Amino acid sequence: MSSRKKVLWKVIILGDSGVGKTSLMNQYVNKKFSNQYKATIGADFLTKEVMVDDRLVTMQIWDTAGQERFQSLGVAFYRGADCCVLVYDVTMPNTFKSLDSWRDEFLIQASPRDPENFPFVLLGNKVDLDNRAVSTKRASGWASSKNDIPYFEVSAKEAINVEQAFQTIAKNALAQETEVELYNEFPDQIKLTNDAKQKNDGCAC
Amino acid sequence: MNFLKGSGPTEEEKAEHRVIKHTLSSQLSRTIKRLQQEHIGSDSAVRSGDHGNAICNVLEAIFLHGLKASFATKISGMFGSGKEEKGPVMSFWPFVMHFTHKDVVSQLNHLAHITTEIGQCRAWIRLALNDGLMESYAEAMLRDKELLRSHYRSIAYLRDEEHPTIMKNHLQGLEGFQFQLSYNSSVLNDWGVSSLTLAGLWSPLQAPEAVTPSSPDVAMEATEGDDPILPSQQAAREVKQVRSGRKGQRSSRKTVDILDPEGDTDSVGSSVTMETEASTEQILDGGNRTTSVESTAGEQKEDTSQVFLRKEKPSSYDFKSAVKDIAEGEMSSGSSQGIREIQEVSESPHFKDSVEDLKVMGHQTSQFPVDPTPGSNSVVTPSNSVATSSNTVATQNNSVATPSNSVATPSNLVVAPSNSVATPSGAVSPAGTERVDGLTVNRNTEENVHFSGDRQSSVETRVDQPSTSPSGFSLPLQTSDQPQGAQEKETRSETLTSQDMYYDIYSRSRTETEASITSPSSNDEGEDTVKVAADSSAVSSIIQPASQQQGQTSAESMESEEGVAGYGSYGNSLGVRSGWSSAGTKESILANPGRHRAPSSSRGSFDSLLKSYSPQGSLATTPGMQEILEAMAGPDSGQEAQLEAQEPDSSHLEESYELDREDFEVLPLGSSVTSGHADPRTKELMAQLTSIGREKGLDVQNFKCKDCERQIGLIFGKYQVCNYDGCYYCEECHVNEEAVIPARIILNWDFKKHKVAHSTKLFLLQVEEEPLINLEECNPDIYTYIKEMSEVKTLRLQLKYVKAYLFTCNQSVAEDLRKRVWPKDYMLDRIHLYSVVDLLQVTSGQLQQHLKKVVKHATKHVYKCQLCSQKGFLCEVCNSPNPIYPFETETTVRCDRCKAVFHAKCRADNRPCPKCARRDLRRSQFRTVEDTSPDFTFPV
Repeated sequence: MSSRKKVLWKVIILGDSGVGKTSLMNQYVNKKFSNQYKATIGADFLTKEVMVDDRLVTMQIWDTAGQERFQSLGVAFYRGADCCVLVYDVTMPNTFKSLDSWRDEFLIQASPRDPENFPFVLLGNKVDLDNRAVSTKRASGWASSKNDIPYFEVSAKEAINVEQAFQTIAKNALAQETEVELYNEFPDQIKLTNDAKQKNDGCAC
Repeated sequence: MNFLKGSGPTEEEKAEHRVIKHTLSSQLSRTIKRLQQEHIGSDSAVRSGDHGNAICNVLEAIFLHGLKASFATKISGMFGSGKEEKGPVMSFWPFVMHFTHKDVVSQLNHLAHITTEIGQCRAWIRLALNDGLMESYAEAMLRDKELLRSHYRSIAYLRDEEHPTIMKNHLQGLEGFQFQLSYNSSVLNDWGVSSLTLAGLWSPLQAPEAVTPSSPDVAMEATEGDDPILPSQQAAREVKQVRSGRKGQRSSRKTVDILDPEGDTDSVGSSVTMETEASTEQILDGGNRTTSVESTAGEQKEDTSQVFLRKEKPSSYDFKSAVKDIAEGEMSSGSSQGIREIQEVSESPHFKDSVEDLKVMGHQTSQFPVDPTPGSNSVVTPSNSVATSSNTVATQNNSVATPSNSVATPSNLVVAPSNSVATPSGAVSPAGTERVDGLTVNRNTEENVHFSGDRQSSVETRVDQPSTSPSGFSLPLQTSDQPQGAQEKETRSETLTSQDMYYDIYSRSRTETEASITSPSSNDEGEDTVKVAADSSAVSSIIQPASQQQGQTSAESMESEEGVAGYGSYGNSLGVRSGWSSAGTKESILANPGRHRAPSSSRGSFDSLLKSYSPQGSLATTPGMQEILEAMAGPDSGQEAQLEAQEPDSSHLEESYELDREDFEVLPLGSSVTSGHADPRTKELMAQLTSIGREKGLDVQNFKCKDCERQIGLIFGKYQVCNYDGCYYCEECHVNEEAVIPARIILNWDFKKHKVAHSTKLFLLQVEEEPLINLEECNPDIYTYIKEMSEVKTLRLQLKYVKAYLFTCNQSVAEDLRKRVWPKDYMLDRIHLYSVVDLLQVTSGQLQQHLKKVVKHATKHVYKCQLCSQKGFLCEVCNSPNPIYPFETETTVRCDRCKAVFHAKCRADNRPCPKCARRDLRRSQFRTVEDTSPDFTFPV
């Protein structure tokens, strides 16, 4: 159905340090989980082939470093992302609070065509733990306030909901792709949606 | 065997011995490490257990390696001679006797159960360990170059330039341990298989080792109860014979024969068939042995398929049977040569040794990528493919062999109908197999066996082994790992090709075999042999898994998987078969980074190289001035410092810390600066490093020479001023030596040499390569005044920025960068640190040139690397889609606070950083709206 077939979808996983981004990715891609924590250095990606609506696509999943000290490396890879996965730890309220920051930063750095409708997915990780500190209600409330982004409560350790979450991620990326196509039918579209921010830049480069 | 050939080492031989030496060093370090791990917490003494014996074996091998022929009985019957010789009586007793106290010598001479010189050698080693004297012995020996020369060849381990030092350092790691090794035992009267193997004197012996890894216990059992185990009487006999290890287990010695019911059959021709039989017998079903056979080669083929199936249950595999197999394997090999020794079961001690070695090897193997599935089943698959391709008996053997290397052996035998080819032990151990292959190949070439060519080719397809074989090495343990992994992978993928190859081989083998083979169907045999060769590689791969199962926990197997993956992802050029030595090193380092950090590590150049390779090392931060000062001032003498650094092997953390430090202590400075000078003096000189010494007057020094306190001044004696510290020295302590004064460089850009006192001169020499000068602290203005310095600053800033990329990329990339700046690791991130030599190089332009090269290389990588290039920044001001990088210092600027990077033009007006503004805003919102806990950190 799509005129330009995109075989590679880029998915970015964001969230505070220690929420389980790497574990989720590993659980999804390699079906493995390790209890040992090893801070991700910089960023790295894994690829996984998935079937979405009878199409075989390659998901390039970018696992990022949540720690601030790795911010000395850039995030140019945000650009061109097809979906962004926000992860927080249901036992750590602070990781939930910083979701806004992650989302905003992502939108700024990735500068997608349509920030309002860019597909995010929210994952509350570590639901296998007892000491839960962020209620489902609160999380889903936040998710629905952000343009109804899908919310999943998952456990990378127990592989709970991980597969479903990433299926949704893939579907959302697909949706994003089709929307882009629609937009492309209108050559002027980009100009029209240019927001005020860009006009402010005085930079000629 | 090489060592028997003659005195003048050829290039080939040298290379070979280099590998052996390397293996010895790493084996030593490994065994010591294991012992440390095992015993570190306990006060109990180390007894003659696995670890103790393993260390003894390695030490024996070290002392044996390169021993001059005059001190050993040459083995007259090389392959093909067909006559059995008494084992070579290699003994370093005459050598070590020189260093041993006469009381000890007489003690050893009068031990009731020690009846041979070999026994004395071995007892001596144990005694030396018990007395904690091994290190000092080594020290004394290495000092006596003359004696070394008279007893050892130039290629000997002990005469190597760096290995003995490594050994000494390893031995230091044993200091804290109390040994109670038994040394009065008749077991010691012959060399152990593993020692000879390690020393490169007897390759076939390795086979038994391999077996052992799977189960140490097995070996024991085998020795004791071989007979019962074997279903067939023949087998039992064979087993006994297998123990060939006894007397000089050199390759020449190949013991044994065996399948023959009659016992020893000298005829070579018959031996072939017998071998096949053995292999068939080996087919085991989950511990149940089915003696399939004494079938001829042709029959074997038929059997093979069945064997396969059975073998799939390696886990259930009976150790005993494994033992048998091994024994058989050896025997068969022996028979090929036509030499037989029936050995008694009693030789079990050797087995133990070999078992220990095997364990070690097993470890290594487990780490290999070869088969993701630890289970033997997975292993089987590769073998199956091979088998199918080859279709015949050979495969069977291999499959059967899987559990025990013995299978391989038969194949070998087949291959070399004339027997010389057959590697006796080869099949036995996984690691052993590799070696075996190598050996066989060598032999082939030497003997002009037709097969050799075929074999090699087959090997190549399958694997790593080939690589070793051409050079004629007996593979070092470490190296073997890599190749195996490669093999396995290849095996699967290349089944088809292998088939083709088989055909080729087959045709060739035919002609060859016809001549040599006595067996009924020459064609079949030829095929078999070929297959066998191919299989042997397969076997090795198979064996690995089996050993894993048996010896290793599932967790470990997981590790191995990871290891594999890691390998692939690293794409480490070094790892992938560049030369043996480098590959080996790399492997070992990767395998256990902790290991080479162990206390044993020497400060020698070799070790530092290793460190530079090590992943951990690559991320290690350079020590601060503080640390360096501590390191310098702390220990009184350099040696002590070393010891201190090395002793705390107990905790890994400590170790790594020490090592980080050691990176810097590699310099001679540590030792010389502190030794011969009291601490306060060194500190005083250090304090003076970045400030110009002013004369304070003779009275401050109480009219005494600063160094020797001799009266100086006025009527007492002439004196000189040292331009470094401004103090006065007598004419003996100040002989008008000249040196550049660091402080004058830093503050005045003055590179003239000034007269300094002798002690100061020494000090300056010692610290001239130390990065002790922090320009930001002592004269940051230098960057504005000195053009060269600002240039270097820029380069070092770029290097620091680009380093962040390379160090988060592939390990190999990070290591490469590290190597490029080695040993000046501080160049990477402490951009204001300089040594005196660095400053001198700045004036000459050398440093800039070097840095430019490194930066250019590194940035090139970032631009073309799929991962690194994605980690660029996007200028938030202009929102240009083209990524920019912090190391593009000419066109970009970086926000000091948030590290965001912008075009220099975009921030020309010094407007506030947009990212920082956002962060500030968010933070303030948080404070007002929500209660933020103190540990909250903003993600961006």
